[in-house]
Amino acid sequence: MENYIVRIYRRDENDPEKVTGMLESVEYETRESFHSINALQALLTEHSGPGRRQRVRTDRQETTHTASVALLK
Amino acid sequence: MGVNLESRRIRRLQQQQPVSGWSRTSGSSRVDHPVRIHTLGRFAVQVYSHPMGLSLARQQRPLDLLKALIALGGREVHAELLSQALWPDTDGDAAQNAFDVTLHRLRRLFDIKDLFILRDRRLTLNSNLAWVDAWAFERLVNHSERLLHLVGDPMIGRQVARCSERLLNLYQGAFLEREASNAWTLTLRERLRSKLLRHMQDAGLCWEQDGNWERAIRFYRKGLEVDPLTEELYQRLIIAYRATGRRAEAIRTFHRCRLILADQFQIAPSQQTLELFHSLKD
Repeated sequence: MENYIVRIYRRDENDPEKVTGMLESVEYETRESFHSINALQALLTEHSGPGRRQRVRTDRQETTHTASVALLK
Repeated sequence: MGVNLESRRIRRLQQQQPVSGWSRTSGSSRVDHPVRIHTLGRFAVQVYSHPMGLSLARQQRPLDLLKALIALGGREVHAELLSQALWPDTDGDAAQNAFDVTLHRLRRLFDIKDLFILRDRRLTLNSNLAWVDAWAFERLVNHSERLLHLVGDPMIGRQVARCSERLLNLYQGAFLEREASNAWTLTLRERLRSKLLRHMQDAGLCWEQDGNWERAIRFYRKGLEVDPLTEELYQRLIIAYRATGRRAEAIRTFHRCRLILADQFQIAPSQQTLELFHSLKD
């Protein structure tokens, strides 16, 4: 079983397809943003691909670091 | 061996306490639970006000059962559900056996009669004997939500303020946030987080209407600590700073919002946030 948290931060009132949010993988402890329902679906599809674990871990470290820097400013 | 030593220590503590253990203390309405369990931001257990050592490897599985029981509601949780959470790859008799053995060890660890009640294969953590911060938080946040609908009455305002302060004290972090990621922790973790964020926004608005800008600012800042991606909280914070004449802080808040949205989502602030920023130049 795979577990994810989907957080929606912004919705376009005129276009229900346009949503901005964050997909968090519980297993890999990664966060990836998306800007539409299609992009969310693509992320979930991509997660099932091979070599995922190594790549998302690296992405996560970079994202977390940048976020911390931004918050300290 | 480790479990036995801890149980013996708890028994000694019990002997030093009144027989009832959880009777109301004189002059206080607070129920003195013999067991206090902290799950928000950390996992810690106190028995008769003494911290329980949690580092022994042999205690881990019984304590995992306790954590799963709390995460799944704590009342009449079916043994099968708990087994699925803790032994997902084990099925049938083996899972049932593992559950029975672990519950037995958990009961021995605490050695408090009726602390864990198993009836019809449903397990309950006795809330008369155990206080759990996550449960206290949820009760309080639900109570606060009801109170927020009645704001306008100064007495109610004071009650909300007290509730909010207690909520902030209780919420020391996400539910079991330092534990390994388990699917069964997610529902409660996310529910409590979401409720706290909603409370921060609702209570902040309530303080704005009351003219208590400093308190509103504190709430919005706390909300942003919990989730720095919530643009509405930046907006409210900018409004609050503007109302108190702190233009520089309002501008800094806008830029922080802009940076974090660009970094995390590669998007610009919303039209509403931009309008607030432009209003600061007037």
